[in-house]
Amino acid sequence: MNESKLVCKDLVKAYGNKEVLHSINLELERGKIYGFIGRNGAGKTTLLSVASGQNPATSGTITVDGMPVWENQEARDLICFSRELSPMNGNGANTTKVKDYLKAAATYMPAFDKAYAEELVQSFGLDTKKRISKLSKGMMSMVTIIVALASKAEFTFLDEPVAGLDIVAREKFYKILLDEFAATGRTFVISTHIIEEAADVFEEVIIIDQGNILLTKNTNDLIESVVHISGKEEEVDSVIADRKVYNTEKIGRSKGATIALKDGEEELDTKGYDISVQPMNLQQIFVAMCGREA
Amino acid sequence: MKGLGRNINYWFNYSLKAFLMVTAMMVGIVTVTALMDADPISISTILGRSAGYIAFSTFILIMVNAFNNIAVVYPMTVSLGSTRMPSLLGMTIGQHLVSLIGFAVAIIFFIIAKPDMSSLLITFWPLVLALLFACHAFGGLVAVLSAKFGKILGMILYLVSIIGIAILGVFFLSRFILDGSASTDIALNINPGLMVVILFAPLVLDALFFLLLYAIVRNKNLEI
Amino acid sequence: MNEILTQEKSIYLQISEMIENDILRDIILEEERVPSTNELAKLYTINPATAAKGVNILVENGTLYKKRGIGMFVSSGAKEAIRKRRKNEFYDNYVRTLIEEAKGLGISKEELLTMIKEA
Repeated sequence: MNESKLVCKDLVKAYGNKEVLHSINLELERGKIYGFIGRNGAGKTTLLSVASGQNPATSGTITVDGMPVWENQEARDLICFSRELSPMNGNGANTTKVKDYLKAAATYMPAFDKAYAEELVQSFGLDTKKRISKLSKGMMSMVTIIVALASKAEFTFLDEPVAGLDIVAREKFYKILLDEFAATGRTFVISTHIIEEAADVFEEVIIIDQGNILLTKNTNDLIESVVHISGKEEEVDSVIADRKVYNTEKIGRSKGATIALKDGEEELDTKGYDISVQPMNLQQIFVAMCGREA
Repeated sequence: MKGLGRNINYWFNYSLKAFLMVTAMMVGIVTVTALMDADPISISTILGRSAGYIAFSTFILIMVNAFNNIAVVYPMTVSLGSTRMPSLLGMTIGQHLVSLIGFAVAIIFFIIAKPDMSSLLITFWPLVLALLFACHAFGGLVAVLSAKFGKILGMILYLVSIIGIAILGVFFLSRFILDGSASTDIALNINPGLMVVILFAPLVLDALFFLLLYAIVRNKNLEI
Repeated sequence: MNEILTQEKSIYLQISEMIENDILRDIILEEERVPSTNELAKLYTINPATAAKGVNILVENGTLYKKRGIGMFVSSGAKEAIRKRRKNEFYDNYVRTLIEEAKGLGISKEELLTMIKEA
C-alpha cells in the first residue's frame, strides 16, 4: 500500500468551450499532507472533483495504484472528496438531516468508521438531528470534515474545510487532522484560503493559478528558496538579472523583488551590494506568484 | 457490478421511508374521516378506502422521486463515492421494489375489505402491473427531461404529470375498478394482440428511458 | 518545550532549538526520552515531517540518539556539547551583527565597550 500513488496525466477539463484546467500533471504520494492553494476560480474545486472521479475529465487520465479512477468503483473507494456544503445549493445533502447524511456516507464508503464519526460529532458538539440547510456555516464545515476524516479513504480531499470555522475550531481541526494522519498515514489534500496558519501543517504545497499547476514542492524547501530583496533600483536589478523573479514593486528610487534562490544556494550572496534580504512566508510567496496586477 | 449492493441498500431504504411516511399519512386521514362518519367504524372500511389512496400515492411518489432523485439525491450519492451506473441502477431497482410493495399493500387492503372482488383482481393483475410500469415509464420521462433540460423544466413536467395522473387515476378508479362490469366488458372486447402491446409497451418504455437517462448523465458534471 | 513558534525562522530549526533550550535548562535531562515527532507535531500543529526534520538535526549532531521502537533519548554529555556549540555560535550570531550595526551608526569601539560594561 505504501507505493500507492494518485496520478493525473495531461488532465484537461473544459466546461463547454471554456477550458478551466490546462494539461495538469500531478502526482500525489501516499503518506503526505498536501496544501492546495490558488485564487478563487483558479480551478481548485474542479481539479479535486475530477481527480476524485466525481466528474469526468475532458481528456487525460487519472489513476490510483495504476487503476483508472473514472467509473471504477474499486479505485473510487480509495478516494474521498468531501465537498463543501452550502445552503445555496439545492443538492440532496442539504435537505437531509446531519445523521442521515452521515448514514449515507457510511453506506457508500466501504472504510467509513462510524465510531470515529460519532466521536468527532461529540467533539465538535454537532446536533445531528438538524437539517444541513439549517446549520451555520461553521457547522456545515464540520459535517464536511467529519465525513472526510471518518471515510478513512487512502486519499482524502478537503475543499476549504476551515472556511467557516473560527480560529479556535480551526486549530482544533488541524490537531485532529494531525492525530489522524499520525495514526494512519493517509494522504490528505487540503485546499484553503487561510494559508499562513495552515502552512506548517502541509508537508507539500501545490499552487494552482488559472488552471495551471505552478509548482508542487516541499513547503520548507519552498520557503527557504524564495526571498525578498530590496534596495536601490540599480543594485536590485543587477542582483536579479540572472534569476527567476516572481514579482517586483517600485517606489521612487527603491525597488523590491521576490526571487528564487538557485538550486543548492543556501543564502543570497549580497557582497558588494547594499541591499536587504528577507525571508518570506508561504502567504507572501503565494501572493508574489499569483497576485498579478489586474 | 461493484457498488450496486450499497446503492440498492441506500435507494431502497430511501424510497421505502418516503413511501411509509405517505402511507401512514393516508391511513391516518382515512381513519379520521371514518371516525367522523355516522356509520359504525370498521377495519374493513378503513382498509378499503386506504387501498385506493395508497395506490394513488404510490403513483405520486414515483413521479416526485423521478424528478427529485436525479436532480437531488443522485448527485449526493456520486459525491459520496458511488460510480454512476450503479447509482442509477440502484435508484431504479429501489423505486420499482418500493412501488411493488405499495401496490401489494393496496391490493391486500383491497382484498381484505372487499373479498368478493378479489377474483376481478386476479383476472386483471397483468393490467395492474402494466399500469405500474407505465407509471415508471412516465417517471423515467420526467427524469430524462429534468436531467437534460434542468431542474425547473423537470419540476414543471412533474407538476403536469401529477395532474395528468390524478385525472387518469380518478377516471380509472371510477370507470374500471369501482364499476366492475364495465371493465369486464371492455377487457373482453380488446383483441389479444393489442392486449400484449398494452402489457409490454410500458415495460419497454420504462427500460428505454432508463438507458436514455444513463446516456444523459453518464458524462454530465454534477451541479453541486 | 512550550515556547511559541515564530515566523522569523524555519519551523524545524525552531523545533531543534527548543529541544536544545530544554536540555540546557534541565527541563529534559540526559538519558531521558524527548517527545516523539507526532507529539511535537500535535503540540505545535505542524506536519510530522517538519518535526522529524528538526529532531534529525539533533540526532545528526549527536545530541539525541535513537532507541529502536522506543523513541529518541538525550545523549549523555549533550548539555555540555550544546553549551560549547552555542558559545562558538555566539560570536557569529550576536557579536558580529552587533559590531556591524555599531559601525553603521558610527559608534566607536570605546563607546561600544562602555555600553557593554554598563549593560
